[in-house]
Amino acid sequence: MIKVRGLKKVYQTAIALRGVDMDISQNEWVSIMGPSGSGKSTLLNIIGGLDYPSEGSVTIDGKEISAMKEDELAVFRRENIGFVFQQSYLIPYLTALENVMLAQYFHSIVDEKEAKEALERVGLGHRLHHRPSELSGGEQQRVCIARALINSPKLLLADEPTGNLDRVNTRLILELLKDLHRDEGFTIVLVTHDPYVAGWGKRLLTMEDGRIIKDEVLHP
Amino acid sequence: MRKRPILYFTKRSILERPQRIFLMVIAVSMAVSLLVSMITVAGGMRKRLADELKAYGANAIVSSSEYLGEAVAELLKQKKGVIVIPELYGRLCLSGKGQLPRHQLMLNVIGMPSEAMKELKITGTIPSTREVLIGRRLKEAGGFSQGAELNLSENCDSSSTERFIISGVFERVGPEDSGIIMELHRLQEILGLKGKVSVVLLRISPEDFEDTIQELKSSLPNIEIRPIRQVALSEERLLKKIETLMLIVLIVVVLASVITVAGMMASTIFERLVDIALMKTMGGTSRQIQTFFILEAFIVGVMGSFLGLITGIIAAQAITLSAFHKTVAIPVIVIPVAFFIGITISVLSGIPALKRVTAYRPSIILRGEI
Amino acid sequence: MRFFIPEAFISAFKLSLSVCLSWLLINAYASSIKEGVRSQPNCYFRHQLLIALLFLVILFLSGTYLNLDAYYKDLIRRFSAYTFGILYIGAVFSGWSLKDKSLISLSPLLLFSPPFLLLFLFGADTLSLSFFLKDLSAMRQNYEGTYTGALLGTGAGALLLIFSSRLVKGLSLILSFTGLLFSLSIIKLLFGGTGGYAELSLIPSVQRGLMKFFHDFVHQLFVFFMVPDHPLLKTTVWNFIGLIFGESFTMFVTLLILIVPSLIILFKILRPPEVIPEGFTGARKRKYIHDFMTMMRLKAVPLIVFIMVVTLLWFFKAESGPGLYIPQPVPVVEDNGFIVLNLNEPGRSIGDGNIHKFIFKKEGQNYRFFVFKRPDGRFAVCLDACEICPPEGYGQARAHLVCIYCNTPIPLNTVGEPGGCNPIPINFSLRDKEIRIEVQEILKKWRLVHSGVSKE
Repeated sequence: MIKVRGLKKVYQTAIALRGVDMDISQNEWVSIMGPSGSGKSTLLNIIGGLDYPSEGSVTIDGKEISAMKEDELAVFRRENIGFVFQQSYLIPYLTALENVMLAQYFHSIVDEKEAKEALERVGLGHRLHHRPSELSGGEQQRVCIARALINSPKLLLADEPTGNLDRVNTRLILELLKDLHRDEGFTIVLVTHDPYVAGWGKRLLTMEDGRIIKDEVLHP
Repeated sequence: MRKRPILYFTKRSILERPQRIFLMVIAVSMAVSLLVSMITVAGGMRKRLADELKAYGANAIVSSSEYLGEAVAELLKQKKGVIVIPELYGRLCLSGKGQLPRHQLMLNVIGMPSEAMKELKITGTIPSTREVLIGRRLKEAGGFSQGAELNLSENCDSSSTERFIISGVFERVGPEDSGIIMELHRLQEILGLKGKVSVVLLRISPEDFEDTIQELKSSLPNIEIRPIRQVALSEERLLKKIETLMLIVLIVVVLASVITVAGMMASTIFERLVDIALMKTMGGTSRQIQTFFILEAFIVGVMGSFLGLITGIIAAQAITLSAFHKTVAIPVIVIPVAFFIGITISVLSGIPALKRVTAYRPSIILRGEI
Repeated sequence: MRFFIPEAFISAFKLSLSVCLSWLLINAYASSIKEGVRSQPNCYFRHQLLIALLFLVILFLSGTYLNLDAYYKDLIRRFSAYTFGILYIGAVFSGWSLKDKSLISLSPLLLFSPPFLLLFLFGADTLSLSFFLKDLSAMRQNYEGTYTGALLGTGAGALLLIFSSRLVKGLSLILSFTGLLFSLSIIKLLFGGTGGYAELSLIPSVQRGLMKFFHDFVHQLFVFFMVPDHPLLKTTVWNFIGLIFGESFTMFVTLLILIVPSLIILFKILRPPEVIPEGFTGARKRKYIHDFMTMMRLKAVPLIVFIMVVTLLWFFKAESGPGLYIPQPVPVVEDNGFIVLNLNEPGRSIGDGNIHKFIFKKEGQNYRFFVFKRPDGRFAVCLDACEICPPEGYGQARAHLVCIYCNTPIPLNTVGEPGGCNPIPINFSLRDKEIRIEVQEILKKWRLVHSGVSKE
C-alpha cells in the first residue's frame, strides 16, 4: 500500500534522511523506532504529505504523494490519512465534539450523530461538551484518535502518541488503537522511541542516522 | 450548527477573543466614522449653505433712477438659476393700535410677489391680499402679535384706511426689519403704481455669479446691476477649503486604520499558526482555511462599519449643530458606502498575512520552527 | 350592473390555466432532476448557448437599428428576449437531462426549432388576446363584474390543476428526454401569461374594485358605529393602503409569476439527496452527500443567473416604464370657427392607430388636443388633458394611453369616453375624409381641465 523509494531529506543544517526504501502493506501495524535525530518523525511527515522530500518518492495506493501540490495533498489527506501527534493539537475554543466535527467539515459535511458515536467508541461519550482544557492528557489523545479516524482513512500515522502520557494511559491508548485497528482495518504507522510502545505493532523498523537499519517482524 | 457549520465555528472563534475583536472593530469604525461624517457634513453643508443664502438675502440688485416696469422682471426670470424678486418700496401710515411713538407711524413697506415670500424666513403664514408680514424689530417695538390688526393708509391725513391682519413675522437682516411686507400688487394698488417696481433683487448661485452679472449688464444697458453681499461667495471658498482638509485627514485616518487592522489581523493569524497547521493535517485546502479567517474579518468589518456609521452620524450632527445651529439630513448613500469601506478595510488587510501563512507546510509549523 | 362578466372569466381562466400548467410541468421536471447525480454531458450544450447569444444580438440590433414603426421594434425586441431566454434555459436544462446518447444526435434539430415554434405560439397568443380586448370598456366600468369573473376564472384554473396532478408522474418520464421542449413551453406560458395580465389591465381594475369596496366597507363600518372616521382615517392610512393597490403591485405580481417557478426548482434542487446508494456509511456517505450537493449547487447557478437577470430587467422596466410614444403637437389654425383636419395628408395618416397631437392658440392660451383611431375602428377626439390631473398630456404605450402626470393607463378602446383620468372628449364630425371640430367646443371643454368636476 505504501511504497517509499530512495527518500532523502536535506535541511540547511543537517541531513535527516539518507535514502529510505520500504514497503508497507494493507492492514499492517508498523512501528518505527529509533533515537531522537534518527529521522523517524521526518519520515512520517513525508509519508503523510506534511513535508516534501528533497529526493525520492512516496506512493500510497498507487498515487505519488511527493509529486502532489499542496491542495491536492490536502484532499488526498482528508480522505485517506489520519494523524495523531505527541501533543494533542485540538482547537482550544471548541468542545471535544466540535473538534471531531471540524474534521468532518473539512472532509465533506458535518454529522453530529456520527461524531458522537465516534467519541463514544473511544470512551468519551460523557465528555462530549468539554473543552480540551477540561480533559486529561489521556482523554485529549482519545479525542485526537476519534478525530483522526472520523473520515475512515486507510492510513493512521501516529507520531509518539503516548509520549506525554503516563504508563496507565499509555496502555489504555494502545489498547484502544489495537481494538480500532482490528475492527476498522486501517494501516498504522507508529513512530516512537519507547520499545514498549513499539512492541505493540506487528513489524518493527529501526532507524538510525536517517536510514533504516533493521526490519523485523514481531509476534509471529 | 446544522445549517452552516462554518458560521458556527467562526462565531466561536470570535467569542473566544473578544478584546482583540473589539479593538479591530474600533479601528475599522474610526475610519468609517470619519468617512461617514465627512460625507454627511459635506452633503448637508451645501444644502445648509443654500438655505443660509436665502436667509441672508439676495446677492445682486437691479435698479434704475426711476421705477422699473414689470417687464424687466419678466426678462430676468428667463435667466436660468437666478431667483428673481421684484420689490416695490414705499411708505404707509399706520394708524390705530400699538405702542409706537408718533414718528414711527410712517412704516416702510415692501411689496413683493407671494412666491418670493416663500424664500423668506417667516414665523407664521404667507400673507394673502388682506394680510401683511411685519419685521421682527417692528413687532418688538410695537408689541404686535400675530393676528392683530393694522390700519394702513397712503398718508396720515387720508381718511381711507385699509385694514390688514398680521399673518406673521419675517426675518431679514437690514432696515427692512422695522417695516412690513405685503403682496406686491396690493401695494401697487394702494400707492397707485400699477405695474411698477422699485428694484429687482436677484439671487444668483455663487458659481455663476460673475458670468451672470456680466450677461445681465450687457442685456440691460440702461439699468444698474450691483452685487450686494459677498458673504455667500466667501463661504463657498471656505467650504471648499474645509472639504479638502477633511479629505486629507480622512486619507490619513483610513491609512492608519488599515495599518492597525492589518497589524492586528497579522498577529491574530500568526497566533493561530498551529490551528492552521492542524486544519491542514485534517485535510483542509488553502481556500477552506482562508474562508475561516476572511469570514471573521468580514464580520469584524460589518460590526466596525455599523459602529462607525452611528458615531459618524452623531459626529456630523455635532459639527453642523455647532457651526450652523441646525441638524443635517443624512444622505442615504452614506449607508452602503460605510459598509463597503469598512468591510473592504478589514478583509483586505487580512489577506496578505493569510496568503503568506497558508503557504507554509504544516510540518514546519508543527515542528515549532516558526 | 352585471355581477358577472364572462369575458373576465374566460381571460382569467386562460391565464390561470397557463400559470397552473407551468407549475405542473415544473414540479414534474424538478422531480425528474433529482434522479441521477451524473448525467451525460450534452456536447451541444455550448453550441446552443452560443447560438442563443447570437440570436439575441442579431435580433436586438435589428430591432434597434432598423427603421421600423415603434410597435414592430418593440415586438422584435421582445421576440429576441424570449428566444434568448428559451435557448439559454434550454441549453442549461437539456445539458442536464439528456441521459440517452441516441438523443444527442437529435440535438442540432432541436437547436433550430425554438424560433419557429415561438413564432407559431406568439401569433396564436396575439390573436386570442385581441379577441378579448373588445369588451374592455364594459370591464373597466364594472369593477364588481370583472372582479367576480376574474376570481372565478382563476379558481377554475386552479381546480383543474388539482385534478390533473396525477399527470405529474407520467410527465416526469417524458420530460427527462425533452428538456428543451419543456423549457420552451415554460417560457411561453410565463411570458404569455404575464403579458396577458398587463394587456388586459386586469389586475389594476380588480385592484381598484377591491380598493373601492374596501373603502366603502370601512366607511360603512364607521357609520354603523357612529364614529366620525375622517379625522382618524386621514391621508396617511389611505396612502398606505393605496400603496398596496398601486401600479407597483401589478409589476410586483408580474415579477413573482416570472420568478416563482425558477425559485421552486431552486428549492427542490438544493436539498440533500433522498436516495443514498446501498452500503454507504460514515465517511463515504458524507462524501457522497457532499459531492451531490456541490453538483446541485453548480446546476443552480444558471437558474440564479436567470432570476437575477429577470429581476434586474424588471427593475429597469419598472423604473423607466414602458416606452411612451409622445408626439409633438402640430400647430393648427382656426378656419371660420372650426378646425379642419384632413384624415390623410402626405406623410401623415391620422387613422394609423397612433395618437396625433395638435396645438391651437387663442387669446394667448394654448389648447392641446389629439385625434386617435381606436383599435375598434372608431375615432376619438379629446383634449390632451383630463379633469383630474395637471394637464401634462398623454403618451401612447402598446395597449394604453398613459397620463404622463399620474401614470394611469387608459385602455385604448375607452378613449373618447368621459370620466376619471380619461382625456376629456370633444364633439367632432367626421365627413368626407375630414374631421371638423368647433373651436367653441374646445374652449368650453377646456374649462373642465384639472377642475375635478366629475371626480368620484
